Amino acid sequence: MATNGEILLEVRDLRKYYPVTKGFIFQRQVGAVKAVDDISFFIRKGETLGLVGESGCGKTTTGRVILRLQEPTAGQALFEGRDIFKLGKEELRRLRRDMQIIFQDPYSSLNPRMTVGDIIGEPLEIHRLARGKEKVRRVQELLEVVGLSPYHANRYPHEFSGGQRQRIGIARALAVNPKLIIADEPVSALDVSIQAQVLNLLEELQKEFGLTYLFIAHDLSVVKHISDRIAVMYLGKIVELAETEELFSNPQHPYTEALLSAVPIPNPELRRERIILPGDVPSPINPPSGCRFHTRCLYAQPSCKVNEPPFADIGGGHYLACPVQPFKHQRSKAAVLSKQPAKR
Amino acid sequence: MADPLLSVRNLKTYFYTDEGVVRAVDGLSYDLHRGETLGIVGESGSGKSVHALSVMRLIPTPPGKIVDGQILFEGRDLLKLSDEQMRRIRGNRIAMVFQEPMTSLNPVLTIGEQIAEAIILHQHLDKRAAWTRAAEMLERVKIPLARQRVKDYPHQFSGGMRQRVMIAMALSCNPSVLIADEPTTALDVTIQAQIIELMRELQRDFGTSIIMITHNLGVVAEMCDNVVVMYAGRPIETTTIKRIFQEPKHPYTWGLLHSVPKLYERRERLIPIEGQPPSLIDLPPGCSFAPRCPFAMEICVQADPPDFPVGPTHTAKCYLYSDKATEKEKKAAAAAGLAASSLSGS
Repeated sequence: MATNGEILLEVRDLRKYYPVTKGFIFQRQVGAVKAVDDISFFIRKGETLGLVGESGCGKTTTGRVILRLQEPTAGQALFEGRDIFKLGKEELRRLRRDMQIIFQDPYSSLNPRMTVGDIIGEPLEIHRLARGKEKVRRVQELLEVVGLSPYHANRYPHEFSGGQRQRIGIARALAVNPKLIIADEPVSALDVSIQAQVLNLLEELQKEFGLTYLFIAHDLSVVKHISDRIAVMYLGKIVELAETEELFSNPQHPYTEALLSAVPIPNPELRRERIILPGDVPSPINPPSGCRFHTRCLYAQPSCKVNEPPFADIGGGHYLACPVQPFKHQRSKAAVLSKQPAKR
Repeated sequence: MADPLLSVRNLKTYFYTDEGVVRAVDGLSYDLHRGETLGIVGESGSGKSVHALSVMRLIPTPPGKIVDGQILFEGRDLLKLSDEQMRRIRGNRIAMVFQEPMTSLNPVLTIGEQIAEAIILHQHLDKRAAWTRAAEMLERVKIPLARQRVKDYPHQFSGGMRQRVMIAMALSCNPSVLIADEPTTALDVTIQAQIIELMRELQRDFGTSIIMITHNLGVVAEMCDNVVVMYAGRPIETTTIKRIFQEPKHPYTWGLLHSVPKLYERRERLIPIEGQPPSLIDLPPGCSFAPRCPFAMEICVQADPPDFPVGPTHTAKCYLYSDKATEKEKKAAAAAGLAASSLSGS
């Protein structure tokens, strides 16, 4: 775990808008879905940054834009100092050796007509890393690394269970010896017993190969388990970012607090004061003015409707976008009460 | 204790496919009492949803068939009722909330029409009264502007709101039993918290008994009184909510408890259950968990374990609690059980 290590990836003021058009032949842009709206963060070498948020908050888009699977609207993403968004086609192809992705759905992210060996071997060929016998040997090695057997190389994806398929997806990402892996909800489609296997595997691989992860997920307990630092997203914005222990023991943003208190805890003896947020997440097409969370926030002030809160370090690498800071002088309810077991 | 409201006895639901017989539910028994919330926990393929469809008699036949067992509702065996008799119970006395709020509503009918349909059918109200009732139900599940929104179509509602509509629909005939099949799985956590809160409140007000089908141990801990843990179509452990977390007895339950990352505990490494769940077509003889069980003994692969009593209102299908296990094995099991329980650590 690197706490003061070198920065591998730095994202600055990243925006991704999708145009909303009207009209059939002459399409006019009438608005934009602000999927990611001005976010900044960095990831150090060898660390895991967790990105949590509810559906539609822009966490997947963030991952895809960094890999340039989708083009950004604005902003910079510096990978080892080079701006990913400025690279030409060939440079980008070479950079992709260093950045790989593991997808959420192990059922749709593997080509059903290719054997597992071809799936894992394809990146080796594209990046001209291995051919022929050498490729076969490397594929078998990768299969073993992720806990499968070399003879699985000749089989097709449909012959595998969800957890095994996710291992194949991990082997494919590892094939090119990447530095950064963006894991987009890699365990959310798996059953809990299998989920634990895959999480352990990801941690082992990180240690063995010195990998850096951007771990995108909606499950807070999973993110907490695997991450060194966590960024919380809401409606296209990062609202809070801190080291894992700090975020859980001292959440400062009202949304983070609500999110933590909403997770059902598998222990009937723990009773917490639950904060139930009113309403649904607003549409990202016309997000609320000022702080985007003000429509559901229990601590909102009149100024929250007008002023967009700056995202600033409040000390010790704890970033926050909330000028109100309702818990500044008291620890938040979710964090305190959850630790006191009480009789039902 | 009074007679149970719903009593499932040795239910077996099989599917006859080209590859062989899938034993989706294979000998499930439990009692549901009035006002109780019973959790049925298991991973995909454990038979928890097929069991729910069996109780509702919604198993597609063929290929499915309920081959054995009884489902006693207020003393009557649902499996012996005619289709017409069953129709009077389904949706009226026993209602169900499905997992997918996105696909289980009819997109071409308004919400009001869909709720009113069941009310007209079962409660014999006229159309106007049924619509009024539908609007009232939407208000009860806290949909803002309910009186206007009855005229809206499902696509005009968000996922959480649709699940509220499903709950309103299920409760509209004031059923005795509500079967909720993963009602919060497709929802975000803050919305999940809203729905759990709503279901608790409605249960208090309506006195409905709930069967809560889920894979989420957290949801079980928050909502249920008693719990049945299922694995490969069988109920492997049955007990109260407190005991399942404090004194879990079955090795599979330990595995489940260990597999879940804890929000407020530090843990370096998760202890997963090794291997894969078995195919339900060629179930090995003996205990279906034996191939993945670190405590498996010789007897486990030979014979299917019966329920062993392991405490007050607590049974486990595991030979560790029979005279087949040596003292040493029992001791190791006790230690493992303690390690998995919520009393350890934290």
